[in-house]
Amino acid sequence: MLIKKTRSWELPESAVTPESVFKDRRKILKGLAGGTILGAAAGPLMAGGAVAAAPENDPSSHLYPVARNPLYTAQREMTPEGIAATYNNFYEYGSHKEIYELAQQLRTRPWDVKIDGMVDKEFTIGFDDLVAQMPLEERVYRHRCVERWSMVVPWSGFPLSALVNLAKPKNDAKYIKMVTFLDKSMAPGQKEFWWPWAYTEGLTMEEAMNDLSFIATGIYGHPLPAQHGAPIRLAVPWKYGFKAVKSIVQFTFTDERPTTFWEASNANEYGFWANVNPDVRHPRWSQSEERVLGGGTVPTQIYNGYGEFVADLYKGMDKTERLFM
Amino acid sequence: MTAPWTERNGDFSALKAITFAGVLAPGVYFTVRYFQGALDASLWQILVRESGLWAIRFLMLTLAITPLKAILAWPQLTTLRRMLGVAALGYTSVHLLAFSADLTFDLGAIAAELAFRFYLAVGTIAFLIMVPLGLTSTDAMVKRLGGPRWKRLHQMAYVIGFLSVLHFFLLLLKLITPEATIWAGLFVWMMAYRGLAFWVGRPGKWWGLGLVAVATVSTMLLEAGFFLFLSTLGTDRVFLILSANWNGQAGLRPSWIVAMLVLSLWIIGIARGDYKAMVRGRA
Repeated sequence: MLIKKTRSWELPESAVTPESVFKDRRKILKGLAGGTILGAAAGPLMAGGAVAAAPENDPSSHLYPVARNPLYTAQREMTPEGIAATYNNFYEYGSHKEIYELAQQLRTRPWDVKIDGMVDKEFTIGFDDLVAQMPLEERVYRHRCVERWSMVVPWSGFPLSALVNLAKPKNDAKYIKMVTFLDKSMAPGQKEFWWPWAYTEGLTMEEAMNDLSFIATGIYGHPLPAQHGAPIRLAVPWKYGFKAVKSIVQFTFTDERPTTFWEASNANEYGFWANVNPDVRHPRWSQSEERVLGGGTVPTQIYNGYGEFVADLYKGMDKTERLFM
Repeated sequence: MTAPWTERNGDFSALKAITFAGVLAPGVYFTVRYFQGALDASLWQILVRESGLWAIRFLMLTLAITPLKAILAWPQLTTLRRMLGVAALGYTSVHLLAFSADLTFDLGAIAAELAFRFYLAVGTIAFLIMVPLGLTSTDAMVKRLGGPRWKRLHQMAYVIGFLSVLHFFLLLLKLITPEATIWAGLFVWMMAYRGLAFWVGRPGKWWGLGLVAVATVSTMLLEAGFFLFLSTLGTDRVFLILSANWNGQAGLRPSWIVAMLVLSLWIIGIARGDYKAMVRGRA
């Protein structure tokens, strides 16, 4: 007898956005945008809907949508795009959530990605050349911010492991360091020069090679809009959102654990590992629950519900490591 | 009949009407935004933040009335104080309510958070002191308590101001907003003004200029101190923050905004040939 055990991260079919709606999304968004122009009283959310639409004239637009990988589903309803695109953290553009307008200053072409450090051969590759040789797929992931809010979004992109294989790191590389662009002419937040810019994050090589580690280049079936960290960002759904570094320009392979942006700024509250755990409080608030963007509160799960994928990574690890902050 | 837009004698007061509209405006604005769906992303967390911001703004304006009316020689400002204070209490109540809603009204969790998180405990104490001030804000209560007693009670507003600024400052929203630093600097200025008026006598021209310097330097030091003690940026970077106050590379700094505000007040005070309406003991 075949018994299908539903794993906790599997999404019931009923929760997936119907394909007809999904395929019509451009029409729906255009409808929203049209409404903005027609209705004199159109509210800011409508404007948000317009911002959420696919970036215009993006040279990678033709790549999307891509087939969804059925293995990665989220157990929860998808966050409406208009909400996911108008409630973001992107400190390069300010410390509030409504940065989507300011973030449009981000210029995503030309965009070079440098791969360096402990690799066979260092190289720099244009974003469009890189993405052209990567195996693109869509994955529905939960995203849990350290500030107690969460969303469910369909990322398009490729496994980080594919990029690691392209980079050919040496055997003694232990970490992969990922760095955001540094250009204050398009990121007013970086004018605050006392912060440890550029935004830096990192994973161990084992974490980077885990199936769940994903590089997102698109969302909701189109290229990433600026506020989501265009054109290329990380998605590591078992960790707090600040690990998911945006607008990456550099992947460095190293045997030294990178000091991350938030670790350098406030090590009392944010660490290198940042794995989601409802039982480990943030110094200023409880992490036991999360507000789902768009409404509702749900209990937070250990590793954000992705324990089957990643819990083994941390077995037998030094007890002094702060795995959950 | 008196109303929020009339003088005591029932005459219409444009000043009071504008202020009344002003204290209601944020509430109206966010109600409209709510119905537009603009708060859908995270209703309670957005409301916690916005109501908190407006609460401290109105509270600071309440506390600014005394120095402002003296410097601007504009005694009618006093008639706005009650409205502003009650507005501060109103927005603080929404703040606390939205915070509770965000914790799904789980009373145990709310109590634990409020009591055991230092920045929340500070805010809670401020609110607990505000409530009796709000309840005694009616004419009948002023009469019942008697002027001096009522006044002593309402001087607790200074404590509320201090606790509220501290609460905002310790909030550390990864990390600190310029507005918290600006209010901290302006609060220093307001309280220094009062202290001077009370212990030394009404601040004249030069004392007034001294206060501008005190407020500006305090803003710089409070900001740098915040990062020194509450972040792990390290002293080198804290010196960079200080240097941003004079090298201009980071644009408008909180210390500049504080300096511009209090310096313009000083200039207006001079222009009015005033800077003397403050009477000893009237702080």
